[in-house]
Amino acid sequence: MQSVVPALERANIVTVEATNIAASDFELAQAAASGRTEAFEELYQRHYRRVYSLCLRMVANPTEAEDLTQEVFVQLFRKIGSFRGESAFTTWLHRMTVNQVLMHFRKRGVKLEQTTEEGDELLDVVQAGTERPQAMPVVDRIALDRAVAQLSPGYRSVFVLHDVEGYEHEEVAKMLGISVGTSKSQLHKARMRLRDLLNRKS
Amino acid sequence: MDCRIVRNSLSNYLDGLLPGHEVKLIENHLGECPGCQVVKLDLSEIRIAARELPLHTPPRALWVRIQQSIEAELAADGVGGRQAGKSQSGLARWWADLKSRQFTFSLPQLAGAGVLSVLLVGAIFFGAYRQDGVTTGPALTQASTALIPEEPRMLERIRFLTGTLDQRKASWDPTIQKLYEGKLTRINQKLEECKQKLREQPGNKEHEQMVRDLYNEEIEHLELFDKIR
Repeated sequence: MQSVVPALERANIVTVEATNIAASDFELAQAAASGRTEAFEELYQRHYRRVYSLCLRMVANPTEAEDLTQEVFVQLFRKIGSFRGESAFTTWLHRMTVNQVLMHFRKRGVKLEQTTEEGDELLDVVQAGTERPQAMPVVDRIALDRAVAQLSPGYRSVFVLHDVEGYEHEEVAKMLGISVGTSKSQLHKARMRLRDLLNRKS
Repeated sequence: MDCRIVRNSLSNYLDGLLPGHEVKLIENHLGECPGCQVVKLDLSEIRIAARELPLHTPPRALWVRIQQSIEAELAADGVGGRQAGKSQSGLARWWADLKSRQFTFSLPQLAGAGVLSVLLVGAIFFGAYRQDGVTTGPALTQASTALIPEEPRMLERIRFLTGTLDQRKASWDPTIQKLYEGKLTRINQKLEECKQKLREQPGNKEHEQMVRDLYNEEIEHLELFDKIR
């Protein structure tokens, strides 16, 4: 629920609409750091879906994703004053989100480096055939989203960080505490597993 | 080149991570092997689709939870008070700013707001018990005069919480007390203004929503401070 009193109080300073249209993320962050609660709320409105989606894809559990999103924004509130605009706000916030999720994994003892996963044996089966009998139809984004949720945490993390969020293998490896080679290998296995999951559904 | 080796290299090939000579070997193989070509196309589609996955939306209540969490943290920070080693972060600035907001009200304003609050609460109680001279509870008697349907239930909750908090707030840090009283006073002032507008324009949906939001805000505020032990 939007806070009614602050909205009325700030009417004589600047209208919410004017702030929303004109302000960049950096300006909003600065305003939020100086105590403008409506600026913080605007940052939330701009970014909460991406943060929640990232959390949900990494943990594959809506309740945990909500809790993590809450923790991310509370963390953002604590650290907003340290944002200097050296990187894009989105990059900074997403990195904060990833760190929060990884901390959550560590607390729960989730293993992020995996050498095998149920279904991996399918990777070694070289399909015979000369046409596209096993080919997927054009990838349905919603089906892919569901398939990602079925990956093990290790594969899912690498796939989400590299293919969805666009981090390089070096960054993924550093974040997850694995080698670059492992990151590459897990990404390939994750993609092959997704192919298998999507083929089974099609 | 063996299909198995090619397929294991396809992700690196698609991501442009292979040296030139390996790229040539793989491309030669793909030109001759439709099976591997299919796998390459599938992986390529997955790779592209991953960048366009739909966004999910959390429940709307999440923002309220975040607000409460932040306010509780601010309150706890105030109660714990200026602990040694606590870094002067944005949190501290927010807190300082919130504290400074309290002093933007002059003493006469605060006194006036206090009197108004007391009169308002008194009027509600008095009016509720006075009707018909019957000893019905406030919620029952107010149901007939409620400005919005939820008002009796909300007032009941507010009364319960303020009753509990009135007993406990004496033990709070003075800064927390100010924070609590200051916001409560502001909410009640605005609530009274909005209720007056609604009385003047009965059935006005916008005013009804404002009254509803303000009651909710008051309840949230009270519940937040109810967490302080």
